[in-house]
Amino acid sequence: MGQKSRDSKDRKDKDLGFTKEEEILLQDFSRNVSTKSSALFYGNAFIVSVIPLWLYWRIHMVDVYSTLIWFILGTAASTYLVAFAYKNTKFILKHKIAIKREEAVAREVNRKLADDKKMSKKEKDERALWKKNEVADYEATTFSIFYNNALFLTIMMLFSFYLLRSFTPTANYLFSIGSACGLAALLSTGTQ
Amino acid sequence: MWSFVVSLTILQLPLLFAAQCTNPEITSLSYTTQDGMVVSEVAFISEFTLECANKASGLTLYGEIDGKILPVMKVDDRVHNKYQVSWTEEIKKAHSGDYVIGLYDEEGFSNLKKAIRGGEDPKSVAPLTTITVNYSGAYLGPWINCEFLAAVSLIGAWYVAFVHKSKLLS
Repeated sequence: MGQKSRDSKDRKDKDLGFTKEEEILLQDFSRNVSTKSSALFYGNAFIVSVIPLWLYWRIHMVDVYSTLIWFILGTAASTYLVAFAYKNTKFILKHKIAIKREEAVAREVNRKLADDKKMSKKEKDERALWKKNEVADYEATTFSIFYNNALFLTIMMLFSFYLLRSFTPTANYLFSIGSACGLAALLSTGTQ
Repeated sequence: MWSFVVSLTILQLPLLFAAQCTNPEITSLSYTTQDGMVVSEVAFISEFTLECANKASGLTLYGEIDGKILPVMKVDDRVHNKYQVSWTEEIKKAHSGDYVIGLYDEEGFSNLKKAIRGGEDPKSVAPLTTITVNYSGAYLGPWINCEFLAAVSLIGAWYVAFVHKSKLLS
């Protein structure tokens, strides 16, 4: 019965052009991110882009009202570019992580499903593939956020306090945040 | 003519006696710069009262520290034995500890000038008395700046992330 329903599902997928297995594999290589993932990226990118405002408000003593428009523009641009960097880094890492975790995930899934005699080998493999995809997606997402946050804040800090020390606070903010999010986005487009 | 000379001598006698101070005793109060973060020089100020056993007052005094002549001011015209001496020193050259200032009356000061001109050690001329100003050092800010600490921590965090990423991509 199980075999029959799975076959019909495969046929349905075939109608769309791909089998379920192929879809999972495609997801593995896909640059598209889910809505949940996208919300996580934009939310995180916004938070990390807002952090420097405190630095300029309290440490560099910028007058918030006269600089508000620059703060809004800087934060918006930075949110977009940092989220772009998250997505790119995630895409690069996901496949590599999937390969690295493949064996361990397959072993774990097989161990869990060992007693389930009803399930066919193909279905078990599909489950392992799906689980591997999920694990790689989660790890790549979280690591991408950590890596890009560290990179963005490090560049921000170095530009703000050292390289652009002599600039006026507003110019310092614009150049620092521009360089930080720009470099984070640029470096994320590399393959290594 | 003789009467003029005699009267001049009589008039000058108190001045001659007043110029000598025997057994000087000093009571001093000093101030030095405490916060050195926004200044380039440290200020030393010492206000002192000079008491002479012979009650001499209104003396003209000069100060000397490390061969450098310092002016000594009378603080108040109505109080003849209260003085103030002050000077500044570059913050990098100023050392913490005691600074001993030699105080000279006019006679001692002319001897001191001669000694300095002749290239002799100024210490060879004994001062009338000395005052000590203690400088405990000015606060120059924290040893490690907050921004430096923050930058180093962030570079460390980024380095850990970078190593981990390289391992994943290898």
